[in-house]
Amino acid sequence: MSLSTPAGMSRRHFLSHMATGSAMTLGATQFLSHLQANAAEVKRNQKACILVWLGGGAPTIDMWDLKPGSKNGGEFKPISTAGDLQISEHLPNIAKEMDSLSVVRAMSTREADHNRGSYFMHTAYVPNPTVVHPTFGSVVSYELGAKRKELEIPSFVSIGGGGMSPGFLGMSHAPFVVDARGNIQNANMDSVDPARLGNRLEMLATIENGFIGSNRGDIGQAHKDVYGKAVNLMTSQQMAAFKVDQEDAAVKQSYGGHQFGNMMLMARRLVETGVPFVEVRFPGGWDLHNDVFNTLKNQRLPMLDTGIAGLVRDLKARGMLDDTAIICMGEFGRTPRINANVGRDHWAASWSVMVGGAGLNGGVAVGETNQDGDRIVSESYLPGDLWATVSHALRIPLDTVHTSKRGRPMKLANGGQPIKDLIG
Amino acid sequence: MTTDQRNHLLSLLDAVFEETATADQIAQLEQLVIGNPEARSLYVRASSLHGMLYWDAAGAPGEQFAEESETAAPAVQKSVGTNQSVGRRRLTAGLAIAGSILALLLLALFMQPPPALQPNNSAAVVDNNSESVVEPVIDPVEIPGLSMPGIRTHVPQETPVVADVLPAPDIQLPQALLVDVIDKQLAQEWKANEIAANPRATDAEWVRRVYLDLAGRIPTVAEAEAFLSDKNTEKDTLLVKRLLSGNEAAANLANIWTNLLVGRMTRTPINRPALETYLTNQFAANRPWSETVTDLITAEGNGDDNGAANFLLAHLNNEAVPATAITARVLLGQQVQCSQCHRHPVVSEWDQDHFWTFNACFQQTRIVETTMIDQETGERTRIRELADEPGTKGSFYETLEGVVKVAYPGYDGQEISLEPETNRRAALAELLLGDEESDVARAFVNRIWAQFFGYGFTSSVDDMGPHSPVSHPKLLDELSKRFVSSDYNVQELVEAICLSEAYRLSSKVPETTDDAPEHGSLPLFSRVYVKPMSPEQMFQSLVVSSGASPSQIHSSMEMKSLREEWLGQFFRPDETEENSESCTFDGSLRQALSLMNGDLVQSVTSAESGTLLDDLASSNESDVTKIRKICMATLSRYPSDRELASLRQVLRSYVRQRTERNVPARLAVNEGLRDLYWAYLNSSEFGLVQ
Amino acid sequence: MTPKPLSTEFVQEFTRVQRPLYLYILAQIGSVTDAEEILQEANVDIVAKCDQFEPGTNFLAWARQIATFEILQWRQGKARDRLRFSDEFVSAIAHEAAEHSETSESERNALEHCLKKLRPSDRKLIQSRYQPGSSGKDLAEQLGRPANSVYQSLGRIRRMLLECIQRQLALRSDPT
Repeated sequence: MSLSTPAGMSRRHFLSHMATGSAMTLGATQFLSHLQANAAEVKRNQKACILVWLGGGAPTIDMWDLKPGSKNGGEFKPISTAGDLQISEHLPNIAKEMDSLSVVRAMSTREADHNRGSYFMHTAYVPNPTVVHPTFGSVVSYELGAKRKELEIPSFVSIGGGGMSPGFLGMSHAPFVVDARGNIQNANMDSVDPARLGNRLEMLATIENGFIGSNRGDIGQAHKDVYGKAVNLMTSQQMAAFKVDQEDAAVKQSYGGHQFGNMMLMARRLVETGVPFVEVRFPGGWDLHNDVFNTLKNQRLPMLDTGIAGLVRDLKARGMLDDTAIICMGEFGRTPRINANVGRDHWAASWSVMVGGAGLNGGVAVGETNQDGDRIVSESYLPGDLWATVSHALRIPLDTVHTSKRGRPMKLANGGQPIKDLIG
Repeated sequence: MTTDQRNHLLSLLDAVFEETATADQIAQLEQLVIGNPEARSLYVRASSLHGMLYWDAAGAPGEQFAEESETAAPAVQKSVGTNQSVGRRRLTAGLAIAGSILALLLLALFMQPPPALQPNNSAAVVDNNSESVVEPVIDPVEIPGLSMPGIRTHVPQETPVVADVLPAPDIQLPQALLVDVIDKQLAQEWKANEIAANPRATDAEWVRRVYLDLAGRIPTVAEAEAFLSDKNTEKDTLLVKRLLSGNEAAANLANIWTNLLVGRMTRTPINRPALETYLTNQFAANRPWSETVTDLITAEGNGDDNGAANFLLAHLNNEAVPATAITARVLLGQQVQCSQCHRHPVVSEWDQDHFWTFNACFQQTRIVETTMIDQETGERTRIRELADEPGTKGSFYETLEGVVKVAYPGYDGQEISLEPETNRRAALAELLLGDEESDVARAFVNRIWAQFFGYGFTSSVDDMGPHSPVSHPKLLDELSKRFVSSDYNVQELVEAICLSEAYRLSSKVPETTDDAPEHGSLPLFSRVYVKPMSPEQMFQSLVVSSGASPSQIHSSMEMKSLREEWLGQFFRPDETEENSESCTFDGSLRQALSLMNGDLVQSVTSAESGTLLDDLASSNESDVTKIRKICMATLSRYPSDRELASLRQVLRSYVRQRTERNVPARLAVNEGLRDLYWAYLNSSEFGLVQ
Repeated sequence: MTPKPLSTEFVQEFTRVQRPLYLYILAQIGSVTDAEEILQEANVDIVAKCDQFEPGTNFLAWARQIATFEILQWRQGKARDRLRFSDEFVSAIAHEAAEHSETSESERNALEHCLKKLRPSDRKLIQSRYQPGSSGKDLAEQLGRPANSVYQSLGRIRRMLLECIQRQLALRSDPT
């Protein structure tokens, strides 16, 4: 049985199964109330953000901010785009959509270690041993996901990801990690008898009530939240959003027909279902200490190009682009200097992030680096500014403050300010 | 001001103080300071410190103010009589600096010289009408409790050396048992922080805890019940000793260290089981940790024959950056990988040179790959071997400015000979382990401590640099020293930790407590912190709870591969060249789904023959007894009366429903018990070490 | 100028303010030796103007005024020095430096305490560095260590001292 396929068990069938167990006490009532609430239609045009994560740190100097004529320029040429800026010749499809997308060319983020950089870019805070800051997907899940009662699947999905934490916002805002094909392990009801599951949850609730009374901190509550989400997920028809295989071949082809394209397509399906934040981890590393140009030209960029362009076109066609922010970055850029192995090393001092959608201005290059790309000659930006910009686009009030477990107030996006050239 | 800004400002100030600051750095400094009150204050304080150090050292040659006795300082503040001497000292200091000579001269001329000046300063000869000055000869001034034999040799040697009469540190207790050292020092800290330690844990809580931490699994029903009914007052000690000498403890430690050394999902083709076996043997024979570290760092040959070689075989990629970073992090407790590209953001000594000199120790080492063809079957196997090529190659790196530099092998300021025949890795191992104060020992002690207590002495056991505050510096020092002097005796250390009073305490969180490392403060260990089970502990506990014999876990190949497979769903290598991985076994939805519906839980709850559920199904005991047994098998305790009553009620109502639908009662009860077992496995409590 | 004997009170005050005055100047100048020179000039002035001081008022504040004038003069002389602090910077920190000089007594006591707390090797290093006539560079040569690594060690020790002093002062100002 699969709730998510038309051939599978219907909702009514499921309910009748449930009804056979007459005692619908605590644990099992969760099913019913949830199934009834399910009737609500998914609202259209809800705000969302898709983060395309280039793990390892992408050489943005070869992608978004080329330096022809400089010793650091590398092998690639810039090409004109539909927007008011040039990008790499190996991103021709994105170039056609650049009227909807912009590039911030003045990121200065200091952290050039993978873990620290990844933490900083995801949370807007530098790592601090005394507190774990929430990754921004968890912030959006907390702010927007919690209000979407009709949403039964997790409000923060990471496709192919892992490693980032919801911090003090709690495990119910943790990224739900799925693989590139949308397979969700252990979530289908095929081998589960609903009556038995009801009984099990009933017993579990009894045991948990005892545990919550045993003073072991907030573990019990977190456990309850997560199990509640798990039950929601298992019984939801919205699980279909993950089934990217159900899409027409032509649609898949329009996203490039490759793994990354399918991940982007899944992201679109999830956003359409109401998921407010989807992180797509690009399949393949960008930590290109060696042979950067061949790897980019032959492997990374063609995939990135068709995947992102496909998404933008599709969102546009479905009228979703004005509500969906897209942001494409990694933990840092790479050294303008080309090293002895024809690679580029870690570089956080001057690099670029691509951003667009959700009403943000398209076709703009914000900020500027010098001729060799190793210094910013305009105002520079921090990850907090980027996330403040996204927050603005998603209508999350900028004066939002979250409180850490220790009672420390934490400003949204670390108090960053929306990037002026991208809004209004 | 952010920490980064603060550190940046301080490093700019260092440049100013050392007179190496460029105009650009000064501009940066000004930019940071102007308009930021916090930065202004920091600047003024730092400048003041620099000035005071300069003033006092310059002012009083031979005076080591640092060595004043403890008693001298308060006396100076309180008594009027000694005020005089302070004033005198200041004056002398002020006068002695070259710049104040003129003032001295003027003073000498215009006023009655203060009495202090006369005995010690030979009068300067001066011509009032000219600017020319005869430099006065200034003898060191003797001030009680202050004058010390200094760096300068002309200071009278007979002055008493105050430092020599300082009381000896109060932890010189070489005879004390290690466990007493722990108990005493933790108790001192509780007292100093006015915090009451938790009451002791129940025997049931403690036995589960100690099995999980030492053997890596929950106790079986028989083991738990044997402990609970044992009346021997020494039963704690006996249990710890028995577990420590058993294979499971060695296998558990080996498992933990294999994960630390090469991760769960190695991308490089290594023989991970061989490394785990090597470590198991080392721990089982209680070989010194220093020997294991030396083996890991200096290993040669292929990973099949020499299990220790797999550590470096996994990490020599990417110019041996992972080998460098992981050795530093795992074996030395230092996070240096960010200094490969730039100076460490917090610890300024950890610059690129620090990283790359360490890295150069691995630059003679290569992986040699050969293909072996089996003569009979024609099967090809690839063999990867560690080999050293004598040579003088250093590590090349680029600074942020793009300057290529070369670093030669060394560690922490100590150099390793560049002679081509020097085995650098062996020399490195010697450097790391040669001292009685060794970072290897500190890192190990801290990590082992954290393994049992949930928190180490530093907020991260991977990151023990000078920037990391230590919760119990004396205790960490003492444990590390004792660890070295015991010849890195792992079992002795672990035993002391397990038998300490702190480890015996309850994990209940008091209503209010200042001891809350969960929220970022340094731990006081006044209670045991609840730890989530590691995936390995979870796997092994699931298996044991079902009634399987614990000895199977480490002996059966089938069980091992089942474990690898089960772990595989939670780990994924990162997209970097630094051989790291991400984990989703973190209390998230994925973990919950796996425990609710995963194959493993389905199989342990399937009541196959030989399992606990199978036994229960065929036994004629009462429901109550069965519920109690399931609770004991999973949580190592009996259910509370209330818990038992509620569960019985749920069970009965389920059975009633089923029998109404013509399911035989016996079958229905057994279904219900399986569901109960499932519920216990999915409970918060099962997944915790508390 | 007719030499006339200075009052004992003046001499005491004069000697008392040497250190705070020096630190006040140093904050605005940055170089220990230049600050010495300025202090010397200021001292000459202070003694010369001794009869302008009103007993019972804040001697340090009075001396600071004189020193401020000397700082100004010195800075004018070095107007083209690229390594000189900017006017904006000096005016930004002057107030803070003045305030701070009033507390240098307790700070000094805290420093003594904190030096004692250093590891012996660190203490030796920082003392050698501040030995008269020494510099970080000389020290590096003496020790045969790279200058940068010695600078870094010194920076680290200064940081520890700075934090320790801060803690000490906080502790002492704590009313309990």
